[in-house]
Amino acid sequence: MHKIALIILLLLLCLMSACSIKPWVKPYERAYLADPIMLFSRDPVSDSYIHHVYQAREGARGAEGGSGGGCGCN
Amino acid sequence: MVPKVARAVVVGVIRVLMQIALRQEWPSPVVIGIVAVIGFSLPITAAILPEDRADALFHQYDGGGVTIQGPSLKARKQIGKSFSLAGSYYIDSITSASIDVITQGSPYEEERKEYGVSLDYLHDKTTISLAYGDSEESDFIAKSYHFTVSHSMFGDLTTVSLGYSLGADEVYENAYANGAIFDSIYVGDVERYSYRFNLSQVLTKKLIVNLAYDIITDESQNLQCDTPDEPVCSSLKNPYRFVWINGGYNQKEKYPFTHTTNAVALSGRYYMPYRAAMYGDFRFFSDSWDVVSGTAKLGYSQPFKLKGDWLLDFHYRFYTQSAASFYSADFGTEELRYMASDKELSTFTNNSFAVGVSYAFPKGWWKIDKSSLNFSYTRIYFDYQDFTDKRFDSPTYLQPYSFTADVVQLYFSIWY
Repeated sequence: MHKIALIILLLLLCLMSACSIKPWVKPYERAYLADPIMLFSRDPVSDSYIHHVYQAREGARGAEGGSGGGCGCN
Repeated sequence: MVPKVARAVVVGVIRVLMQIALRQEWPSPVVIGIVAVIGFSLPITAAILPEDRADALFHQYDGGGVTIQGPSLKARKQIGKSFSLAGSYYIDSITSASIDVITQGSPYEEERKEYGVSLDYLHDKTTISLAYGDSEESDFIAKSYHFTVSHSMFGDLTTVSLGYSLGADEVYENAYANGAIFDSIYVGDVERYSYRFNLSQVLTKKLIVNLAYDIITDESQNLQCDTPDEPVCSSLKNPYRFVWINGGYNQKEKYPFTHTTNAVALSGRYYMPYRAAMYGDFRFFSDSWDVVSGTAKLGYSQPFKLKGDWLLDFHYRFYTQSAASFYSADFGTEELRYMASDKELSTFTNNSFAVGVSYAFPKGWWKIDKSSLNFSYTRIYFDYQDFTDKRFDSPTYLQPYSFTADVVQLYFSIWY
């Protein structure tokens, strides 16, 4: 397994040193992406609350895009 | 100076992850590779500070005999060109007569207050964030410290973040008489360590995706019971919950002293005709207690004009999980080292349907750039497979338990 990790690391290092990736979506082509409708978290306070609602009642947690905090789920 | 510190932190994280990989433990080589890309690609990009805005939200959860409501406030203001400071305040006012309370205790009222502050620092292509959170209720005090470093790269098509959080909880068990607390007994501490990785990637002119990966570990500490080596003392358990054994809730739960969870999520957002957006989230979760879960969410946002600017949003969310290895709704007469009858650790699914509507007020009053009034409603259907209803007077006695919950949010937002 550690050999695979090393191979991947070396491959990535080679790629980074040998290639300069050019943006394939130019700055003047980003009007759609800049629209607020495309934000992953348009309303952080609301998102934080609804994550808490689920987190207190489900076994799963994490990978929700926030930094999390105390639960107080007793 | 700061980018050097950020790079040193990232390189340190990578080094630790590499050492873990070389010992052939989690995480996988793929994760190491992804993190390596971030670490060695730091000085490429541009980022911005979050917008100056304030939100005042009223929230209410009503389901399964539990009502929780209260306000949530948050305000953020940029300081100079490089800093952004935010503060938040949140209250849960709880009235509980849940199935757990009915079968194992007595109904209660409780209040939880949460404070938070955060500071973001932007330098060139790098954002560094520090945050502190404090949550307090009569039997649970949680403090948490968060550090996140983010970079955008490849001409701003890619943004990567690494985060670390440290949590310190104090757990108490209240003793009640006539519905009032007359004593609060210290159970122990919980230390939480959270490692976060996030990669946001522009794929096309209309599509952006996000990959998130979190590892969280909880450790039970400073146990103050007579037998601190016994799982019945673990502060990871709920001190008020019992397990069903010998025909009743006759024994306190017995939890492991550690809990490690892994979650990976892939999210996407696609720009649709008429300024609409379609979005989806998929999350896979597993933990050291053998809980495995999947979450899927699909939603659609549509702006429209009707004597002003409106936004309609709706989504569907599905969640499913398998039970923890030490969960049982009925242990019979069998005594095991770890035992739990919590419905949160059972096999269950839930389905959520949500709708939200926002109205944006006309711009340009006083010092306010824009403002909006927002309402959202979510209905959640919980269906448990192996958690049974043990309320003697219930029409569904000894059948798999289910309930519905209604979640309402009403909030006002301003940008300045």
